[in-house]
Amino acid sequence: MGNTVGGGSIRIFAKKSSDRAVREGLPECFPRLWRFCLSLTGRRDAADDLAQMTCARAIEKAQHFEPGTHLDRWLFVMARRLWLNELRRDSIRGSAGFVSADEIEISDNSAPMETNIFARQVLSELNRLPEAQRVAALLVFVEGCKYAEAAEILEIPIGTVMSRISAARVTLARRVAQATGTNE
Amino acid sequence: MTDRNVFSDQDLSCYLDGETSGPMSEAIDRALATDPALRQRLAELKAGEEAFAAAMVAAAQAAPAMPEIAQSLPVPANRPLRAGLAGVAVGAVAAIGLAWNLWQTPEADWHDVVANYQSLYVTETLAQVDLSPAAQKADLDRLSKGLGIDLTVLPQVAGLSFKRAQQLGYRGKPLAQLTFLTADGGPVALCIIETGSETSDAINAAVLSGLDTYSWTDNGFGVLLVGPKGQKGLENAAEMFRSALKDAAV
Repeated sequence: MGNTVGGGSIRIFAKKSSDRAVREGLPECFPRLWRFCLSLTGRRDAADDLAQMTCARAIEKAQHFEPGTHLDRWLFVMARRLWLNELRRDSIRGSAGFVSADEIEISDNSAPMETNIFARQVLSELNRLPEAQRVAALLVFVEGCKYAEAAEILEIPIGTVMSRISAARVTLARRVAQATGTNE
Repeated sequence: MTDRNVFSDQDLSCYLDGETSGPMSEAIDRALATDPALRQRLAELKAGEEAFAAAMVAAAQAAPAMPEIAQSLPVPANRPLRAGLAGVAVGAVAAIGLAWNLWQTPEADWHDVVANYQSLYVTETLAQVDLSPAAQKADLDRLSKGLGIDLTVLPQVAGLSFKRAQQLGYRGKPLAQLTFLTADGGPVALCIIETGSETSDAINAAVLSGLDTYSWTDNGFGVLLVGPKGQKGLENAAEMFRSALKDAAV
């Protein structure tokens, strides 16, 4: 298996086309990437940061993307790893200690009206579930992933996806039943 | 009224996602035709999901505009990504990454090493191992003494046949390795080492070296159950092992 001149130029071509695929695909994927980040973080500001950081990392690592495969899933895996390995602990520490309750209060009051409505409706729906369940629920209920695909993205066993999805459904069903007064 | 509990919530959840096996799916179809309580339960599970999905559709619509970094950088890829916003982001990642390294627990290390080692196991590694119950017991006793945790309390788990217990070592500390074969010949290992780490609330599931792993810590002992990817029943086995080992420290 000798090195050939042709092999080298194919690599350069592949690198360029990977790079283009990522750059051209990102805008279309971005709203769903951001939503995925929101489901990981449970917070809007942290989702903004994580989505932005994922875009930067995606462009940096674009040569590893295989054109023709799912860019959205590639981004989800990247966002999840960034969150788990580099941001999560910092973000949790920030929300628990470094930012005082007063500051949170002020920033919430100064947010535009639609932000507050968004926060109330979407975030409260999202935060009904623990982090691990809501990410699995987003992938299966909303992104339409099969269990095997969700397991691949989240890097967990399929059986775990199955139990998280089931637990999420039971919790969500209970809330709906409570809200509509159709309790058993 | 028919007993709707023949099907678990997980059965119904899989059914809604089209992830049930043929016979189970047909059984649920048949039951739905005659069981209004089951239809009601299925509708409740579906309704919860729909409320969640509606909120998530709204979330994507409320997403902010894509940050500049992704659009503004020129296509020639050789320019290093160290300027402007991207530079800030990359810098932040590096700083947080450093903090992460300082903080990272030894758990991650030994989990990786064990999973990596386990990935070399094949059916044949264990198929010929055929120790008498007395010999197995003697091994477990010896290991328990060395490790300071009574391994003889471990229950038989359906679908896992116990092959042998060995002492391995990790960074100068004894590491107990109990190996099993699944009914279809998949190699499974239960590994235990004293880490001194805090007790974990939940069993943590992860895929390492292409294998399914379940890990937890109780009484300063770290435990990792590792088996073939997609192996059914492993999570259940992890729960049984955990509850047996909980009070086994001596």
